[in-house]
Amino acid sequence: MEIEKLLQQGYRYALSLTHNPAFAEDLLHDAWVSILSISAPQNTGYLYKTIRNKFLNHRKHEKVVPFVNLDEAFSESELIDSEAHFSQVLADQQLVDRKMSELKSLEREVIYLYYYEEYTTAEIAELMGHSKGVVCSLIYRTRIKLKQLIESEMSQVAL
Amino acid sequence: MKSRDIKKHVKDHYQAQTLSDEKMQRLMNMANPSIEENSTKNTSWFGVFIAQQKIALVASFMVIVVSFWGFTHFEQNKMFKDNFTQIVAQEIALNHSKQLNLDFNEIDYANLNKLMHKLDFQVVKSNHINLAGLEVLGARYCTIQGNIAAQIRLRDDSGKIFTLYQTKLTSMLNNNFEDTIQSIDQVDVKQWQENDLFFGLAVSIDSAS
Repeated sequence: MEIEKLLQQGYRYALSLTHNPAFAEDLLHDAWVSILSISAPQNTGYLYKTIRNKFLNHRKHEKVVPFVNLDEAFSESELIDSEAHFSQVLADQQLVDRKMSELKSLEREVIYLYYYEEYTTAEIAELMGHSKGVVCSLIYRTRIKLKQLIESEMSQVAL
Repeated sequence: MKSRDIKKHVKDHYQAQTLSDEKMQRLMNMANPSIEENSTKNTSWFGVFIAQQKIALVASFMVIVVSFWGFTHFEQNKMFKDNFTQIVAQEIALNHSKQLNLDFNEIDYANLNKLMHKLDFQVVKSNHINLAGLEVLGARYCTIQGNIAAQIRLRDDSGKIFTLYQTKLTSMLNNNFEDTIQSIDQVDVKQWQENDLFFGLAVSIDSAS
């Protein structure tokens, strides 16, 4: 794969985790140096895993409580069935951009991987080290949350 | 405002985010040595000859341009040198303040070169300043002005953290560099050159006082 395209994807993935361009650049830089230093494969799978590990390592140092409750599982068919209910939102792009910042790291990550990269839930599960059920549940809950965030602001504007 | 698929919104959100050209170039440059190495192995003698001619041509052109520029813009050159030294000091101070995770822990100068094999130079102990009393905590790769560099974290007896940078002297660094000590954003930065290497040493002013 062309390196420039790979780095651009890595940056966007890092951005999905951090929602902070400077931090995303640092994560990508550290991951890229690690990959080069051990002559690791230069592909998205390896780059994403390295970025993710660096990010989690950083969060651990900051003693940030991780993310969301991952106890409940969800089936893929339930996820697909609920797609139609969620798929349409009445909003402009700026509003969606703002609301993305209110999601937690893990939520933005699954949304990025599922909707932007169009990964399957199995691929996301492998990258994140969770079961498919947990990933389906996370996508389901995150898109409901995003829709509610958008609709909440829309209703406030309407009032 | 119209109703749109959330998938489209998410795609547009991330599609609009791009890595800056400068950062992209730096990361691409880091990958270049291996690319050049591989391509050289597979190139015929004629290809090598042509490549050498091109490099010589480009190098000659650069020499002419730089010579002309230096001859006609001496004062501007002096100003640029001062600014360049300041820019490098800012980069070093910023990197020092971040205190990013180390790639290699519990190391000493003896095994540093073995571990950091991606560097295009040998890390050496400086004779310019006395680092004897400083304990090496670890090291990581970094870049200075787009050139791969070693960032070595040191600690003295009182617990002060120092960050030492080493990178190969490029024509840019060599020609525009002033041996200085500057204070940038509460960080003291000393820069010097020694044995074809550029050195930078940073320490936070709070911990230095």
